Amino acid sequence: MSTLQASGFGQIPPEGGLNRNDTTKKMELGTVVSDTYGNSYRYVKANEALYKGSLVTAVARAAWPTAVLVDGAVDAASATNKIHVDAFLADHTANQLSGYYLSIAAAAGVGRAYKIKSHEAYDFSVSTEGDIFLEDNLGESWGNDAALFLYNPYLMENTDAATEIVMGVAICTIAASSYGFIQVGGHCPAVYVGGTTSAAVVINEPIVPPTTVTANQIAGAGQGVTSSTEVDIMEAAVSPVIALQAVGANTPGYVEAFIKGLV
Amino acid sequence: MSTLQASGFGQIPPDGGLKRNDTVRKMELGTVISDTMGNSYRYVKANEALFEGGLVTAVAKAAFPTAVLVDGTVNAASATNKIHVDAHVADLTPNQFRGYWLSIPAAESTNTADGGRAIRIKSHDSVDWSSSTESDIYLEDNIAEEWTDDLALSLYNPYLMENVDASTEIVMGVAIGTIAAGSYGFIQVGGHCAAVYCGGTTSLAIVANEPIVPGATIATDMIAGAGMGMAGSLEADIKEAANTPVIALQALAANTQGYVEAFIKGLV
Repeated sequence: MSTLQASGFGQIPPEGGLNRNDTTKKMELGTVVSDTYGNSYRYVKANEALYKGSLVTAVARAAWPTAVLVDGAVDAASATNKIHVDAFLADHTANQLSGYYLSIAAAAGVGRAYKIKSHEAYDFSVSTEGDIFLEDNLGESWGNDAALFLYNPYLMENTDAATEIVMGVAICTIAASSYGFIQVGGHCPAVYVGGTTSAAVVINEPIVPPTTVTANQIAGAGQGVTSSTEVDIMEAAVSPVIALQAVGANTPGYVEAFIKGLV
Repeated sequence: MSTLQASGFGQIPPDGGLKRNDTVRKMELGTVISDTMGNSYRYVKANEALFEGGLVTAVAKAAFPTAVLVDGTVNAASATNKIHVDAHVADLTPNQFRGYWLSIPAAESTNTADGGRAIRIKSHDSVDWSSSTESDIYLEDNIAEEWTDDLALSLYNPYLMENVDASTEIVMGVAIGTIAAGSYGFIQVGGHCAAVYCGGTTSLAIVANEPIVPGATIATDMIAGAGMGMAGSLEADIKEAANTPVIALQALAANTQGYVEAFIKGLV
C-alpha cells in the first residue's frame, strides 16, 4: 500500500493509504476524501480491472439490470418514502444496498433517481419481496410491476469511447469487483495515454478517452482531442483532465495533468 | 422536508435537511456545504419560484436596482472602507445587507477611469426610513477608485437565483426542491445529481455524456429552467458547453419532458 495519506477536510480513509485494492468494502461507495493540497479522491467499486493512470467512467445506468419490480402501485400524492418491491434474485443482508439508487426503467422521460436509505434483509429461498426506504419521498407515481433500475453511480470502468464523461483517474490497480480510490480533483502525477493509433496530447489541452479500443489503444488510455470541431467541443466539455505536458501521437506513456474539480 | 443530510466538510446545515423552502434566512447566502460523496449544495435566495430539477442562474447584476447613492465623494487615495450612502427606500435592520456587494454600475463606469470593481459589504447601520434615508456602510476592502457624490451604486447579491431562460446563460446549479419566490434553500452545485428537469414540446434531444443546456425558446411548451441538448452553431455549442457544468448520464428524446440523471462538474 502507498504511504500517500489523505488529511484535512473530508472523511478519514481507512488505514493503509489511498492506493487500495480492497476485496471488502471499507467505506460507502462514492465517499470523497481530500488531502491538504485539495486533491480529492473518491472511493469506488471497479466493474473491471482498473490500472494506474487510466481514465474511468461510471457504468451506464442503462447497463444495469432492471429485474426489481414495484410490488403495489405507489402514488405520487402518497407522500411516502417506503416502497415494496419484488423479484430480488439473491440474498441480501440488511442495508446491503444502502446508498444505491432506484429509478423507473421504462417510462420515457420520467426518471428521477432516489437514493436507498435502508432496507430489510432478504432470504431469497424464502421470499423475493421486501420493503425499501428511500431518502426522499416519491415525487412521481410508480405503477404495480413497473421495472426499476437498481444501480450505483460509483461503479467504475475504463473509458472506451472518446465522448464518455471522464469521472476520474485510477491511481493504482483495482481488480474487478474490488474497491479503492480514484482521483477526482487536483494535481495528478500519472495519466496513462497513447497507443499506436492515438492523437497527440498537447500541453494545456484536454486529455480525452480513446476513440478506438484495440490492442493498440487500450481502454482507459487517454489521448488528445480528436476529429471534428463538434466532437472536440463535446470532448472538452466532458473531460476535466488537462495535460501539463505533451506526448507525441501514437506514443504510449504517462503524462502529468490537472483535474478540474469533479465532485 | 427531506431526510437527506449533509455531512463531512463544510458548514453544518440547519435542522431539516437540504430540501428547504425557508421563509426566513437560516444561513449566509452563498454558503456551500458538501456531503460525504463530495456532492455540494449552495444556500441561495429564490428570485422566482424554483422547482426540482430546474437549471438556475444568478439574477444579472444589471437587473438589480441602482437607487442607492453615494453621499459625499470618496477619493481613491483615502484608503477607507467606510462610505456614506443616501436614498435607501425601506427600513433596514443592522447588517441586513451583509454579504451583498456594492459597485459602480457599468453604465456609470465612464465616470471613472477604472470603475466597476465590486466590494463586499461587511456591516452597516440600521435605517429607519421614516426618519432618515442615509446610513454608513463598511466594506470588506478599501475603496480603490473614486466614488463621487450622488453616484448611483449597484447593490446586489450574486446568490439570488432564478430559472435559466436563454441557452447561453451560465448554469450555476440545479434546484433540488421547490423554493418559493422570496424564500431560501439549497441548490446543488456539484456531484451526482439525481434529477435534472429537461425538455418540452420544442426541445432538443439529450445525449448521454453530453452537456445539458438551458432551453433556447421559453414558452408554454418549454418552461424556464428546463434543460435540453446543445443548440445552434458550433460557436453557440462552444459557449453552451463552456457555460454548463451539467453532463447527462442518460438520454432523453427530442420534444419529450422528464427527468434525467446528470453529473455536475464542481461549480464552487
